[in-house]
Amino acid sequence: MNADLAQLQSHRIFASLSPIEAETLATAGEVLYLQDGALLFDAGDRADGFYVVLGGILEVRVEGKTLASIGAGEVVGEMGLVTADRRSAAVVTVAEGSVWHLGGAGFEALLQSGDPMATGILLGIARDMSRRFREVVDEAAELVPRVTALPGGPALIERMNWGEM
Amino acid sequence: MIPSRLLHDSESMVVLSHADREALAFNMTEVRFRSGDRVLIQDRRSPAAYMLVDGALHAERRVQDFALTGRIESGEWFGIASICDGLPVTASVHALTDVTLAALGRGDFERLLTQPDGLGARLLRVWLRSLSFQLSRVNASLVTLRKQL
Repeated sequence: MNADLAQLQSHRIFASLSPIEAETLATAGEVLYLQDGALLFDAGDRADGFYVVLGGILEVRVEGKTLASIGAGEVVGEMGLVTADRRSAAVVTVAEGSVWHLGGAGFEALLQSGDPMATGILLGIARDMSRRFREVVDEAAELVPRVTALPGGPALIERMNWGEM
Repeated sequence: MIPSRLLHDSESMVVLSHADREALAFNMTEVRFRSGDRVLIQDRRSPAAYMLVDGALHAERRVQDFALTGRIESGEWFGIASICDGLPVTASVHALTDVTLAALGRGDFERLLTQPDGLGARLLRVWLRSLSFQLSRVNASLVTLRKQL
């Protein structure tokens, strides 16, 4: 097995899979190598599965504005496993690297056959999103004392709806 | 077991088939809280994932003398992250009115994941939509806070 797939198998979204399941799933997807400037997908493209960044740096852009940089270990486009809606942002390579891609059709086949790997990968992604959710809420909590010290800060905080957090 | 109509009326559940909603209802429990009751406590694990069926809920994360607050609307899920990763919830949740919740306990969730019919995976897809929506919402709020500084 090549180094890319070995790296992928140790990723946290594969944590609930057995070593054999993780290897099977890793080989069900494909590794894509990206040059500087390569477009992984564009806003408006129909979603097709999701990606795990193995190396390099990518940027998430909306209308030309960079919203986030993502590097090795990050998951991108995971809503492509949930819906075939259009992508809401573009993802562009800014430092060459590679990603692992699992297409929507391949995943749907796993899901419909009741394959436990589908459950495992969804649980892994749910945990990954939960981690990001906690990080955002924690960062916001750290900013609150600074924002409330500003004129109008307390009123702003009071008006915001953070949902369940 | 809850009456399956509680799930049929929820927009978040429309992606599940009628049969899946019936099967899920069989595994869930109806829970009621009175106005003012505490449903979840910040920094403690949630015993279940909940869907708000009826009523109004208020979420609050205390930060020194201030609080981040949020509303949970009918049909929304909460407590999912804690059920998925086993970590404590990030906010307390109180009932603003008498509320009815559909609850899926931690053990029932874990059992669903191992069922051969794949219902656990299909429920996870529903939850990923919910987590994605919540993540987008807190991200947008965080951007607003950053802009102030």
